[in-house]
Amino acid sequence: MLILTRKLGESINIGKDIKILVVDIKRNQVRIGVEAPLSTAVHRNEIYDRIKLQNLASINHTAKSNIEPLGKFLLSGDINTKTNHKALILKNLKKSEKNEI
Amino acid sequence: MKFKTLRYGEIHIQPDDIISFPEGLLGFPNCHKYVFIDEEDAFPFRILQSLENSKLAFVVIDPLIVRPDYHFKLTLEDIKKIKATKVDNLQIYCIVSLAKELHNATINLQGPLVINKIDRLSHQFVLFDEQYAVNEKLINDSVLKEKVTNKKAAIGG
Repeated sequence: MLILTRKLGESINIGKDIKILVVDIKRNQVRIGVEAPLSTAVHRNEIYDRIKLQNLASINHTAKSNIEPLGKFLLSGDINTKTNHKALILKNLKKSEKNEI
Repeated sequence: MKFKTLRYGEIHIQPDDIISFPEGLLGFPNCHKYVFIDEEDAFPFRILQSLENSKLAFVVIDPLIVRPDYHFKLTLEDIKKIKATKVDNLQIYCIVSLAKELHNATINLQGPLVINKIDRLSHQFVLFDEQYAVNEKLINDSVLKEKVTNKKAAIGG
């Protein structure tokens, strides 16, 4: 990994289009400004990691025996007694079927 | 073409059934080809089965079924990734994490799968406004409490 030392207000360029600027430094926190083309996704790394970990966790318990009871529960009439949730689900299902590929 | 899956038996695939994830899903960068398996008893869930790993499958659901108000923004740049030009041609699914207990099932609303229905290209998008989480309860607690209360009332009555 390339490691560079920068002072407040100094920046780094990555390629032609991406600029990283040190905006503010407070104790153990650094505020960083990123200028990049719209096509370049810029995210905090934790969000990627969270989704990655969740994806990895989601492949457990995918047996049919796990799916069926939950499907039945969702379609059961008493999912929500306050609103007519079942009607809503069925309506959304119809919409979903129409779009289904 | 036939394909043997670990959990759902042997499936028959037409070339048109295949959905491509050019970048893979996060954590699974080497699996690019998937198909939907629709088991009648699994409804309203669908299974997204990898064609490159017989053991790899995701349980997905149209998020609007459980969160009718679910919404997020995609830019034209975003949907260019899957060669789409119109929102009408997109289909959204979210990955569900099942657990042994029904009430522990969660849905990943922060990393939706967006599929271009025409070209069958897909991508897992990352929503970074943090309005949604990766592990939101699929069945919210108030609904469960009501269900339990109703049951108790039924037993009592």
